[in-house]
Amino acid sequence: MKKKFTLPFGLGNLRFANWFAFGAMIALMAVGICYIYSANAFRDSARLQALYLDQARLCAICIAGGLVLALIDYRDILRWSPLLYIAAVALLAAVPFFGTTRMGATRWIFGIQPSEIAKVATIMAIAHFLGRRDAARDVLDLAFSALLAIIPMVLILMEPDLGTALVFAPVVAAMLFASGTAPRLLLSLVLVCVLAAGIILAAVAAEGNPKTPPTARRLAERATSFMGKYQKTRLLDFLFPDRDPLGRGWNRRQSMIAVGSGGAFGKGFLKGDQNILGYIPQQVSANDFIFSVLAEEKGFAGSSFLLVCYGILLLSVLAAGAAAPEDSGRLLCVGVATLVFCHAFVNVGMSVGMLPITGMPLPFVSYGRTFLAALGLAFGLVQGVAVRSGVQKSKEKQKGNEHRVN
Amino acid sequence: MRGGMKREEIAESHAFWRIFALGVMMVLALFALGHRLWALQIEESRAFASSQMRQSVRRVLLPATRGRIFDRDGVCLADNRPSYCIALFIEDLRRPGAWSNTVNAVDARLDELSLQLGIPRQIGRTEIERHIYRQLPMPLLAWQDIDEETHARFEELVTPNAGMDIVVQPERVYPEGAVMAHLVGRVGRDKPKAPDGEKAHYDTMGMKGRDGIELTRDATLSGVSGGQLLTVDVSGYRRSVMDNRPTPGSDLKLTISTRLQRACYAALAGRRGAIVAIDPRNGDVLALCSSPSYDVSAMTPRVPADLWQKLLEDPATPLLNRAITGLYPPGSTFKPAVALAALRQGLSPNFLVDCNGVFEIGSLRIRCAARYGHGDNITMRKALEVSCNPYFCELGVKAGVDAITTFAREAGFGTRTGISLPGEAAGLVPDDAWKRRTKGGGWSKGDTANLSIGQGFLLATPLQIALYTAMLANGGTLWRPRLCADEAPTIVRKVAIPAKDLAVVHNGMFDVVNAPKGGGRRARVNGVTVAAKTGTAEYGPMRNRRKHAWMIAFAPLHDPEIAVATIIEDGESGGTTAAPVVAATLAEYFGTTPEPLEGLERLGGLERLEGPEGLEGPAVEPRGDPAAREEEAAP
Repeated sequence: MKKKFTLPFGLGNLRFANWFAFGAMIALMAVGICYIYSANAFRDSARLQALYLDQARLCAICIAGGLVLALIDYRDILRWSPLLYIAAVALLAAVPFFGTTRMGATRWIFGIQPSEIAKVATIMAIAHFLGRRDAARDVLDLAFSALLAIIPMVLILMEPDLGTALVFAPVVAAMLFASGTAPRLLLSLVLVCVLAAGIILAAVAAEGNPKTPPTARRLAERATSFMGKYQKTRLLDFLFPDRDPLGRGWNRRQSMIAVGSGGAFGKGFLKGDQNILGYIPQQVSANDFIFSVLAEEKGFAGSSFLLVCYGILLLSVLAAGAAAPEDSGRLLCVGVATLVFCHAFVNVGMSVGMLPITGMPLPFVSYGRTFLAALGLAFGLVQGVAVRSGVQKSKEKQKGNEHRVN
Repeated sequence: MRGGMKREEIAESHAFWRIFALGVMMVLALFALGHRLWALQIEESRAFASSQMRQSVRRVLLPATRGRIFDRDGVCLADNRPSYCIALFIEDLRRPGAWSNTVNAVDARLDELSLQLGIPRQIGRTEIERHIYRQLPMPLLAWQDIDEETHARFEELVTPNAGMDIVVQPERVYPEGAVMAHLVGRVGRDKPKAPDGEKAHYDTMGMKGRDGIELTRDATLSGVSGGQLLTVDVSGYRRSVMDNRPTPGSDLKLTISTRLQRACYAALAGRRGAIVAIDPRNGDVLALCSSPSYDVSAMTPRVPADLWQKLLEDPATPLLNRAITGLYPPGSTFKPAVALAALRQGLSPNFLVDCNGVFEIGSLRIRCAARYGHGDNITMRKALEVSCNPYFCELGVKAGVDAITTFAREAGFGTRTGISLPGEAAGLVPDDAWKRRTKGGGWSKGDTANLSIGQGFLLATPLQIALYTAMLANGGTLWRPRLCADEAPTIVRKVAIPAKDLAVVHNGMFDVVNAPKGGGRRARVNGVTVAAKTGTAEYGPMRNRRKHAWMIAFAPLHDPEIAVATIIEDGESGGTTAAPVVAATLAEYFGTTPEPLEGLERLGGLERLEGPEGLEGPAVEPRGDPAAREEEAAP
């Protein structure tokens, strides 16, 4: 038998990686770097102008780190997920005591956002938990998975960061759904969530309406007492966009003007008036509103290109999940895909005025170091799943071949 | 088949379909976003683009440079002077945070500049705040109309792009000042008009004609204002500028001769009165002078309130343009018209009247200038020379009021001349219908007698009288006064005046100046034969004995080039008060000097003319009409 040439460290196994997902990720990162540059090109501070270099460096690290992770068997990594989860929760718990406060919310600690790490850590923990051989998919499993999600959710809600906390719900729901949890259990969970969300929305609306009778108002205030004033106003702005067009509804309106005035092909790179003139809020144009900058400068062509990239990315990650040899890998893929989807959908939806303004970064595109790093590493794991299933399949094939020969 | 599958395999195939369902949901959601993007970026793109423009683009109008005004010889009557202002661009001095930070920065810069340039500050903190609040993207004019030294020092001190610059604002100047005040008029500050009627966000100041030619020819002079589009950022600071240059206004050339106008103004010497000089060959207005006048230079860029009040309260009414707005009884200057009307009625130039110093009709007694009369057998020519009241009263009554008013209307009385100046008066030619309407009584022969000597209800402006004089001079062409060189000479009408009739009037007017004791001999000028008619028009209640001094004149007698009408309010008489003024005007026109009164002997040939028998020496022969000449020569 001819001796086969093999790359060291199993690098040859990278041929099984999901190159569609990888390509889409690279494209999104490139778009991100370009438009972080564009968003800050007209700012006074040199540090802001150089922000895109920061992002480019981190992207390179993420790609390299992701490839390294892809080579390791993801199951070996998932084994450490309980520890990672506990560390993330501990970090979250430390935020109120040691964190830094920016724009009315305490989200940062030691320069990172533990909430972003917690998202990935929770996905990994649930994937690991539900991927056990003896997993029963019963009420107990469901309850424990929900608990795994609820602990960081509550901690994040306290920051306060409503958007980030809420993103846990669909991610965990999708993972439970994919894991084969009985539909009636899942449905009742979803129903509870929808009901709760409905009650909260109605309460906020009632509170914001000056015509609400005092007794109802007191009730509504009690129902929404867990929310900060800041989140209530954001919700109200979404529910009643014309409530205060020059005040809180301003950002939504300006973002829509930016997107809409972009037209079919946009105003050209570095020519987005809404961004240059500061109508898109300058502090967040590179992260929360990066889509508006892109949509204004590249128009419908650019924004639909972005959506296509996300489509390719999501479908290929889901495909990797579907092809995964066992549950933990499959659920990991579903969790990461749902996380990316939720962020992209909420961010773009907010930029086009479909959804309330929340600080949800656009995956791989927005400037935000913690989220990018966490997501980049999670993508490494996803590629690891693809590589593992590829390796396993080729081994089975080899085995089959040997069998036939024998 | 299914039964054969292991439990794990079943779970795996379930998982596949569930993941597939998730994928479908995600793709559908992305399509929903795509649909929304289509709606915003394709369907409603235009509306969003215009919202974007509306919120970030500000429109400013740039006034055009106003056209200058020149006289017929190219002397500048209205010019633009650059006024230099130091402008600050707030966006270059902006400070983050509260607005007061920026106000402080501007305030500090102004203090610094004030020290460097050595000039006191013109605007304070309140003005800065108001500017930032109201017109942030516009340059802040910190010093207006700086002198040359400050300008030079500023250019030395300040590097370009330091958030400051020199802005030039045109300001109107009137080099001739009071001499041309009524005629040229003046401008006021006003917002420029947008060529497309669109509104501007911030007011800029241009000029607008307020009086005189500046007002009537504003459209020519003002040009088309340009526009400026300022892009402002979210805080309202200026980000960029797009210019649409204005089209400057056209220069305007007048028919006025500044030289002549100055001479008129000097001759009037501040007395209340007016002089109008017309070229009888084409209707050009050579001079149009009203006195007293005011210094129009002090009225730009804006009229000081106290000065305006003073002018309004001045009993001499300097703001009134007497030449076109002043209405006066024409007095004896109307007599040539009466003579022509009578001649047209078939009355003879040898219609004789005995003048005993007074004309009586009914209860009316009209005195003659000669206390004891001009004697018997006064002819028309003689009557014109000596301005005999009884003669014209009789002549007028004989000719009838209709003949006189018809001729007067043909000669332009009672109608606006249409000169391109604001506020022209029409005057009045009274008749029976008018008197019944306004006075309640019918027309009497006494009224006709009064009308025949240019008294009573008849009113005319000096401009009308001047055009009538020009008509007498050119033999019947009534011109529309032409003030701007771009207007074509326009004939209002050709009044039918037979040459023999005209000769009588010309002869009479010649005698007024050139007869040894002619009432208008003070109007003589060296080297030019002048024909004229004096007038001393009484006005107001009889007992006041207030009189306006008139003189109309044209020269040279043959082929006249200039016709002049002069009035001086409350003068002594036409011959003593108005005639020297006319002489000065004509002398200036012909480049000669008024003839001293001692020089009467020079016209020795005219000595024979004295007395009624002097009729035989016609100064003017009716041209091209031998029959008429014979008729006149015949006794």
